[in-house]
Amino acid sequence: MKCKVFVALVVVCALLLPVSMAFAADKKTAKAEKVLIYACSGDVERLDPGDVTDGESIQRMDNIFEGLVEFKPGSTELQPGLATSWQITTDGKELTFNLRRGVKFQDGTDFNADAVVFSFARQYDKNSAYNQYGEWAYWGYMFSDIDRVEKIDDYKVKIFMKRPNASIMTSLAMFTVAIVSPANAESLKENAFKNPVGTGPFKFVEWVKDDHITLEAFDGYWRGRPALDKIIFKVIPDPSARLLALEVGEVHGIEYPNPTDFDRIRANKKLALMSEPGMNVGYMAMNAGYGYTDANKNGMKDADEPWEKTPGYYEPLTKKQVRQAINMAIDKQSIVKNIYKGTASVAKNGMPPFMLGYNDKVADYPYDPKRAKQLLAEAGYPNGFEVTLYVMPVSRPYMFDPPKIGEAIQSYLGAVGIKVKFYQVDWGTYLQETQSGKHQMCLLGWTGDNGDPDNFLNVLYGANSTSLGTAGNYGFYNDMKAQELLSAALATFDVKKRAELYQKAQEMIHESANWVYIAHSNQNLVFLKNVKGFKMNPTSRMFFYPVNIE
Amino acid sequence: MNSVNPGGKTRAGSVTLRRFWKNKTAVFGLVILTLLILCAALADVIAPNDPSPSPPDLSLALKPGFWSDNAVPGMPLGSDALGRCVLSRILYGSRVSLSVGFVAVGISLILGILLGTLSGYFGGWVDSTLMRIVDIMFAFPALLLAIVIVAVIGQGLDKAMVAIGIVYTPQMARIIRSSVLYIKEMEYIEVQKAVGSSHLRVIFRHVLPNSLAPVIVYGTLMLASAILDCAALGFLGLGAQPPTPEWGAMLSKSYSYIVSGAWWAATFPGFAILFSVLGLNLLGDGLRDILDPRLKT
Amino acid sequence: MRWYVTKRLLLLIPVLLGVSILSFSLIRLAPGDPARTIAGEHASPQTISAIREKYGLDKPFTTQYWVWLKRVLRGDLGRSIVSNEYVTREILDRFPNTMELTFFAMFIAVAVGAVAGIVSASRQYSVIDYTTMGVALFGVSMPVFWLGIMLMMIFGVFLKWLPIGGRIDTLIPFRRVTGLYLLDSLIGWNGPALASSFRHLIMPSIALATIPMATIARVTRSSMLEVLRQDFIRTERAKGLSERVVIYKHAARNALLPVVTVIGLEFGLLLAGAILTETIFAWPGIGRYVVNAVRMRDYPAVQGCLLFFALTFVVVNLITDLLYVLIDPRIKYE
Repeated sequence: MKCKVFVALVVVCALLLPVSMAFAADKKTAKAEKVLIYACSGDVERLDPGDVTDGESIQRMDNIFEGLVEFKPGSTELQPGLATSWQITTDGKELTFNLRRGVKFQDGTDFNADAVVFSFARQYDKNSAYNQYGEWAYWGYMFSDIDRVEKIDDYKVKIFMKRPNASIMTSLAMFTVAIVSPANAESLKENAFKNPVGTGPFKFVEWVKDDHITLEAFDGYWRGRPALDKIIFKVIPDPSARLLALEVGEVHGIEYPNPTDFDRIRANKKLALMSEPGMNVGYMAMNAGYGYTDANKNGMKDADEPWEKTPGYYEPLTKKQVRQAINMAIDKQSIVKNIYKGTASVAKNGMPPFMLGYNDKVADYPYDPKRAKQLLAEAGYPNGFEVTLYVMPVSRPYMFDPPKIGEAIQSYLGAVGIKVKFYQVDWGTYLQETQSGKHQMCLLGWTGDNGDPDNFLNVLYGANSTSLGTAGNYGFYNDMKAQELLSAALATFDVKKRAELYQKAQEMIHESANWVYIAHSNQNLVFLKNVKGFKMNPTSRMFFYPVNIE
Repeated sequence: MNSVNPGGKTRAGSVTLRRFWKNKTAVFGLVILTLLILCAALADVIAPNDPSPSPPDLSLALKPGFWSDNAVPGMPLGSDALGRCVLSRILYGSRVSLSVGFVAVGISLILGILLGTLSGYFGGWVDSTLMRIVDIMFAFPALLLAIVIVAVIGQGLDKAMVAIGIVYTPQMARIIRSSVLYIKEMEYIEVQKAVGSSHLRVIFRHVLPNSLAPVIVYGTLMLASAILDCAALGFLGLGAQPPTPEWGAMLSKSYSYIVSGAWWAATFPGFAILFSVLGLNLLGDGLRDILDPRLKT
Repeated sequence: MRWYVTKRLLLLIPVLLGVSILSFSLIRLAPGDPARTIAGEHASPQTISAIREKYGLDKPFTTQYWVWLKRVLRGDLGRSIVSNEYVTREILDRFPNTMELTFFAMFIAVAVGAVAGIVSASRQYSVIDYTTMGVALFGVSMPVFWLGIMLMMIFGVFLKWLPIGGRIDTLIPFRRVTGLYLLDSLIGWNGPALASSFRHLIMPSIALATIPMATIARVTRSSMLEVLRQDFIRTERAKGLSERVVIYKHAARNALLPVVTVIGLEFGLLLAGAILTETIFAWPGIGRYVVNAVRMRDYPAVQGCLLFFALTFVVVNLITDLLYVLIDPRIKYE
């Protein structure tokens, strides 16, 4: 009997111990290390800066890698990066860069012209042994005017252009042409980007899939060691969970807070909400039906590459009237007011208002369901039709809650007789399928990479960008006349001329109505008050080098 | 079984009925089930609003219900993230849940009767093989199997019904089979066979009607599980698709707004599920007490 | 006894075979060209034919099955379409996470449920009995994902006592040995880690444990009631032993026997419930993995998970059956 009591006592103690430990737990153990935990909404796709297109991957890459030039913090003006100075010939076809000396990669090897040539060549040179390891989509969008990159000497490189390109310098500040370590690529080959090595302030430690990525300070960084010892990018997909984690101090910063939580955030003295206009656009694209296969991979539609039906070809959407009707059936004002909750402005064009060449004279389609129904009837669909809408599974800077917006659109279109069904897949597959034109309608958007209107209008709405498999033009607007305007605007350095050409192009795009432009959204981040030094960028890129925790 | 006399169902029937009314759990369960059926049938009449107004009035999003001053008149339980009335969606949702439940159980009944009768009646290798298959299906957790079936046949409410129906078939088959085995031993069956009645005749006229009791009991309990599983699939986004008002889907769409303070959109649909399932479980338990306490093991 | 065990183990084989056939055929039923699905959307026609050859997808069904089975027996469950990692690796990485959750939940379910059932039965028709059985009925009818949300709402959001996601505080230095964080914390003598893992574990386990707990309570109660009615209890009482001894020493032990089998069956429900619980609480286990895999049509991963779940369930049931045989005194004398 007595031993039974004893056993019971032991069991009770054993149970109480962890319980008491749990509730007495002090989360703030004395740390010599300064670790910043930043909660993101999704995990990385890949760790190769040349091969990524999504914001989550880009964020991590921007702290490991650097490029020849960079943007000044908070703007789209350029400053020297790994290149200290540069010259461009008057015809715009040769760019010479003087490289910074004394810079080392995180694996100890030297940064020099060989590394630069390698980083570029692996993307454009089909004979390069490393070309097979990536898809290089961004190269196709932004850099296909580059013919080749050559080493002049150990600290000088020359970029030769096929055609002059007005935005090439700002494009060079993009992550796509960040300089990677050739030594690392050679030793690890196809696994090189499971362990990325660059020249940036932080080096890669580990990637635990779907959970977190850890970076630690690079002592040998050429600008000097960062103040933070470690950054942990933690994946917390649910925005409420992210906010709660921030509130209890489990993380130091979060992205994509839920707009409905802003009042709560503002009322909390321990949090700092950072909010700025974003250089982005969120839209619903309607697949007008035709694209082309870029057989020679030159990023342009050539005469010998015929138009073909996209896999998502859908008869009603090939008619302009139908697309215009859909534009008029959706109450964008209400969506921006009630779903974006005032953190965005209604969009009527495919790029934000402060960009060069923005055409304010374009008259947006009004919210007019009656007229929409008329148009549908005129087009031959008095009873509407069924259609499938691709909905993004993740938050984006231009669209916080795509499923909700999808449902709102479903409801609006239902009122004019169009029945919407949804299709959802994981983000990687979503991008692949839309790039291949498999969708009928899809929700997507774009954040500008370099502050140049070409980066929006040409990449997103140019006919060249309807290449099946690598398309950026999800409405499959294939008007070659508009493309001529866009190409001409890129080839000239005359700012006034460019603006004129872009304005004309926007009129044509608007008339064709392949897109319902929804909003230009603010970028929103929340940090704990004691996190200092972070600066927001119009490109939504995140640089943690100047950040410190006090 | 209460009665061995095949024709004596009427007398036993009235005895059963009286026992039913005396059993409080069963009555309570029946009340809830009736309430549910009424909601489903009369949703058009009782619901204060359209469950999926098209076009939506987004300015009414996430407004609280009768307990708050900020309430929208006409939406006693508040509104969800797209400005839709929570109460109306719950009422229409009862239609969805009930139809899935009945169809799924129906499917499992038909397939289960097929398998169970063949197994129990003919015995031998037919029995062994079929029961082996049933055993194998039991090796998988029900929800997982349903999810995988949905992965194969596609998402949607109708597909969810079929998936759940298939998943419940083994259990139903076993029930029918044991009942069939029991009846088979009865003398009068031997008599019938001696007299020369065809197998089919024996099955339909004598074996099946006497298997009614366990089918009713387990059918009710399985209806409860079907509603739960339908909500689970809806919650995972694999069952009902928007804008269909299904309780599980309503939960998954709304729980991220709890942090913002809008707790009602996620709480009330959950209560709806709880009470429906509770009612059916009560009814099933009560029926089990009445029809055969031996089934309790 | 030994013969019984051998018989059970032998019977396992056809069941496992059947499970493998079912898993295999289910996935093959999916629409679309499996080679294309495995190769991924972006693959070139050459890659697709290479995959078709490698997996033997142009051969007849039985051959395909045989090839697949041989690979599975070697431990190769194929590569995930989404992540391109080996499915076996991904499942094994997440398996301990789910196991920790499930076992902890089972522990709670049995401890609380069995005790409740016994107490209820010994005080039949009392207030305690009715309340417990009422609560149990609620428990059985409760949608586990809703319960999880409610717990999260009350304890995570309103009261802020407990964290609402993940397994452990990111800042705490922690070494993963077995993957069972409670165990690993003890092994590493890591106090803060133990506390943090425990705090993260409580809510999901309680949510998960509720339904099995309720069922176990009910089954224990009815089993106990039966035992109490039996003759030998009357004999014990007649012997003059105190009520408490009668109940706990004799009746309970006998009543718990059938409960052991129920535990095995309930385990299946726990696994299913884990799927939902892991989704809500962002628990990186197999449940969340399989839901994701289904959503992304990652068929190799789904297939692997199916097999794994079934295997676990079958093994657990085998163990409980054997345990039952071991404890049941009646069988011992056979």
